[in-house]
Amino acid sequence: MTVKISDDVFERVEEENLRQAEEALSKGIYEVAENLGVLTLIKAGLMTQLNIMGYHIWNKIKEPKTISQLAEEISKDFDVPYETALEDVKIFLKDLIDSGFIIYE
Amino acid sequence: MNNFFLNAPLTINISLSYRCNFTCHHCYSREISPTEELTFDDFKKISQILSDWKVPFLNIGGGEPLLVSWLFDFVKFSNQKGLHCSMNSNGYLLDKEKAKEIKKAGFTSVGISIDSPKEEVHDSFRNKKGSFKRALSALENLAEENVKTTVSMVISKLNKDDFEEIVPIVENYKVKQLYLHNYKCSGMGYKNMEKLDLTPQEWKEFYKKALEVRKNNPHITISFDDPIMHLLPEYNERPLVRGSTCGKLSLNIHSNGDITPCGFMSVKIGNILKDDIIKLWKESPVLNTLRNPVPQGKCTSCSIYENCLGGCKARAFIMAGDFNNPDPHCWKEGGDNR
Repeated sequence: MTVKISDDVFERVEEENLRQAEEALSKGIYEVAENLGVLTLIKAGLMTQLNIMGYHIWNKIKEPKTISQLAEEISKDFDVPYETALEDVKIFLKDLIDSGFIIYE
Repeated sequence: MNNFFLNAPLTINISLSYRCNFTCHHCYSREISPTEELTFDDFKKISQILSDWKVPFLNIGGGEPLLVSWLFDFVKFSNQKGLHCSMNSNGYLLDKEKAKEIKKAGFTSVGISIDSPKEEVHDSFRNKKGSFKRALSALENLAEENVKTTVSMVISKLNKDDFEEIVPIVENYKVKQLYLHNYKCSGMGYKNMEKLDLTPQEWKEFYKKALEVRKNNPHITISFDDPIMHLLPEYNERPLVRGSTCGKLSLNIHSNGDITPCGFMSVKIGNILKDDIIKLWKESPVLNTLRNPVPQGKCTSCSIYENCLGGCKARAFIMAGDFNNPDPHCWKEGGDNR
């Protein structure tokens, strides 16, 4: 079973916030980067924002994939153990699946 | 993540004109001045500015938008620029031909105002005989063209006890969403406030009932736009943006290009064609006051202030001249009684 972005999601990159988050990451100021909303998502009156890490994962789901595939990619990208990436991915997906932004296929 | 901020609004409410074929008793725009109207070319420039700024949603109000001769050309142009356009209309002029033009122009949805399930009450409130039948006819014409429709009802003393009877009526016309708007003491709404506005306790009772109606009618989306609803324990929605969303998620542009946080507030923060909108969005002292509310009066002792952040800022400003004043619709006496 794969996960994918629901067809009726509107998304907008908050470009200035993204630049600030990238700059903060490059300087190792993770707390600033974590707290900046860089992608705004809207679906049927619901709205949410993702930070730069969420944005990274979101972009990976543009192509539907299984949760384990996603965790493997995150594990490689961030050089973290697969189990850690899998836990993080599950946490990330939970709210987005509950609110219908991401769906199972 | 706790630092929510948008680089641009998500919705711009825009009035192309304040001309109207109705004289409703609650109309916020009847008293608006100036009534100067920009040209079609000016509004095209505005669409371009909004598109460059990555604003996704443009909601056209007024005035009655269908009185604007270039409305459909404007919507086509705005669509080409990537804006999703909707409008609010009284529906009186929305015949089959107009519905076809609406479809062709590419509106994402059209909202029709119906203020009572009773024809005679609606017609009297809207000061136009036949307006109820025409509003339903507009919904029918739009449904035939497969245009998504919503219905807007402004809650007042005239409909607080029977508003739910509108649900089965509009469902017959494939209406997807019913907006139950709170009464704004602005324009004619201010003049007729004594006659039409509910007391704080009546608002509380209304919202409790409205939530029940919503629960019992899951096949239609019933929406509210009143931050004081968050005072009710049974209203468990926890949006990303607390309190009033004006100046946080949306802005209002008048027919002369002036920008206000919302259509009900007369506080001008700039002009879309004359000022740097990005700078205004980031630095306007008015917007920053709205985004960083400070509790005053009974709000200072309220344990759930964070839920509503003082409620509707337009009402507070109109009634007390201060955005931070407690919302006059708030039913809390202070302390913790909910």
